[in-house]
Amino acid sequence: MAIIIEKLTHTYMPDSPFAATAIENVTATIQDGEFVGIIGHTGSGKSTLIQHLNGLIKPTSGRLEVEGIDVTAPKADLKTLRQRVGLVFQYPEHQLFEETVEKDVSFGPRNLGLGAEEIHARVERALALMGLELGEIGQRSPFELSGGQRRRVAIAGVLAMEPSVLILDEPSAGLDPAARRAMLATFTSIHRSKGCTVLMVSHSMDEVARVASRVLVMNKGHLVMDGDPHAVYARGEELKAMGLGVPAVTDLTDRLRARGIDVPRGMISLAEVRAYLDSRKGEWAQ
Amino acid sequence: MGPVNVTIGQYFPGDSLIHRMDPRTKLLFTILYIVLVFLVRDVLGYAAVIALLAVSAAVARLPVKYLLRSLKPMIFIVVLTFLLNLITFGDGGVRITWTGLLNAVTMSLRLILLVLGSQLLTLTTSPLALTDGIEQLMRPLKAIKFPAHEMAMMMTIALRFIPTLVDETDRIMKAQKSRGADFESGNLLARARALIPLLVPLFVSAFRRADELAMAMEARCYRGDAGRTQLKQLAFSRVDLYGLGAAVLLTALVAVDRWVL
Repeated sequence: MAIIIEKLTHTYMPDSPFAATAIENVTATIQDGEFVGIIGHTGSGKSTLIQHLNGLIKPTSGRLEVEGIDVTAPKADLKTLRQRVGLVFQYPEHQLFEETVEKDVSFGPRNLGLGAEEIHARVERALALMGLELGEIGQRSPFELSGGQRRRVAIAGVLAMEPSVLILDEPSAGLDPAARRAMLATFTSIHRSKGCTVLMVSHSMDEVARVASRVLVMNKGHLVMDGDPHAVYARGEELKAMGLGVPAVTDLTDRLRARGIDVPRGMISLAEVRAYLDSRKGEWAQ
Repeated sequence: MGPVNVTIGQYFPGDSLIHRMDPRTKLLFTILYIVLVFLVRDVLGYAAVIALLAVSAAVARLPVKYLLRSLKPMIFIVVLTFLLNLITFGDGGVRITWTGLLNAVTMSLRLILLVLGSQLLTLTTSPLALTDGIEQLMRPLKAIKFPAHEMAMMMTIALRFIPTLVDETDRIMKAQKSRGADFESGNLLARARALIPLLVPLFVSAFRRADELAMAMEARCYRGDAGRTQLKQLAFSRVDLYGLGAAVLLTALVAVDRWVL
C-alpha cells in the first residue's frame, strides 16, 4: 500500500491577513519499502508535508491516501493511520514525560489498547532496534540519560507503535558526527530488517545521499525535484540556485570537471568516484 | 519555528498620531478614560465618551472589525451583567423594572466601553513600548522599594515567550498525538489525565529556556536596573501634551458636572 499524494495544498490561517501557503500542488507517489530523503530550506514546506501524512493537519485542497486510508475523507480513521505511520518530530527527546524509560516507550502501545504482555514485548523490541536494552535502562528516568540516549528512547517510543511507515524529521539534528553516523546506521538497519517505508527530512545533502534511494526536493512550497539521488545531485547548479548544496562528493566531481577531468555528473559516493578514476587510470597514464 | 503566526498581545502596527504617542501618555490617557466611563451619568456624558473613543480609533486608523473582535470573549460577561441588573428579585417573585432596565443598559455599556478603551491602548502600543511606559510611570514607586524595573522586565520576558510556548505546545501536542494520545474525548478526569504528556514536557522546556535565558543575560552583564541605559528614550512631544491636556480637561469638566453643579 503506497502513499499517494495528489495536488496537495495547505494554507495556514486562510482568509486572514496572515494567510500563508506552505505547500502548493504537491504530487508524488511513494511505494512500499522506499527510503526517501526530503530536502529543502527551512520554510520550504517539508514539515507541513510530513504532518499531513499522519493526519495531524488536513490539506486545504488535494487528495492524500496513506496505507489505504483516505486521509482527506471527513471521517478518516486517524487512530489506525497514526499506528501505521510513525512520525518522529525534530528533537523528539523534548516529548519525554514519564517517570521511567519503560513507561515512556509504552505510551504509544498503551494508547493502542494492547495487552500488558504485548506492550512489554514491543517496548523491548523498540528499544533493541534503537540499540538500547530494556533491562539496563528500563527503570531509569529518561531525564537522567545523556542527550543521545534520550533521543533514542524517544524514537523507540514511536517505533513501539510498530508502524509500517516511519517518518523522521531531522533525526540527527544537533548530534555530534559520530552520533549522527550511528543514528543513520540505525535507520538503515531498521529499514532493511523491518522492510518499512522510511521518509527522512534532512538539511544535510551528504546524509541523504548516503541513505536514501530516492530524493524529494522542496522549494518554496513546491516539489521541484523527485528522483534517485544520482539524478537529483546531477542538477547541482539548480540546487545551488535554490540555496541548497550538493554532497561533498558531488562537489568534488564538479570541481574535477571544471579542471578538465571528465567525471560523469551525479556521483554521490566516494567509492563510485574512486572506481571511475581507477578505470580511467590507464588512459591518463599515457 | 513553525509557520503558525501568533501576534503578541494584539498590536496592530501603524504610524498614526496615536501610534506615535508616548506610551506613558497613552497609559495615563487610558486611566483617565476609565475614570470618565465611571463618572458620566447622562446621555450627553456617554455620547462624549463614545465620541472620544470613536475619534481616537479613527485617528489611529484601526479597522472597526479589529476593535469589535475584542468584545467577543466578553459577550458572556456583558450578557450576564445585563440580565443580573435587569431582573429584580423582590417580594413575590421576579420583576423587571424601568430602573432595572436603565441599570442593565448603563452597566453593560460601561463594560463595553472599558474593554474597547483598553483595547485601543494595546492595539496601538507595542508590548515593549507598553512595558517601557509602565516602568517609567512606576519609577517614583522605587522610593518605597517597589521593583519597577524588575516588574517590567518580567512582563517583557513573559510576553516574549508566549509565542514560543504556544509553538512548543503545538509541537508536543502533535508529537503525542502521533503516539496515539487523545486530547479531545473522554470525561473531565480522562481529559485532565491526558494533559500530563503535554504539561510535563512543556514545564521541562520552560525551565530549560529560563535557564538558558538567565545565562545569556548574565553573559551580557545584565545586573538589573543599576546603570542601565535605553536605546529608545521615551520623550514627551507636543502631541502628548495636547492629548493629555484635553483628557484632563474633559475629566475635570465631567467631575465638576457631577459633584459641583
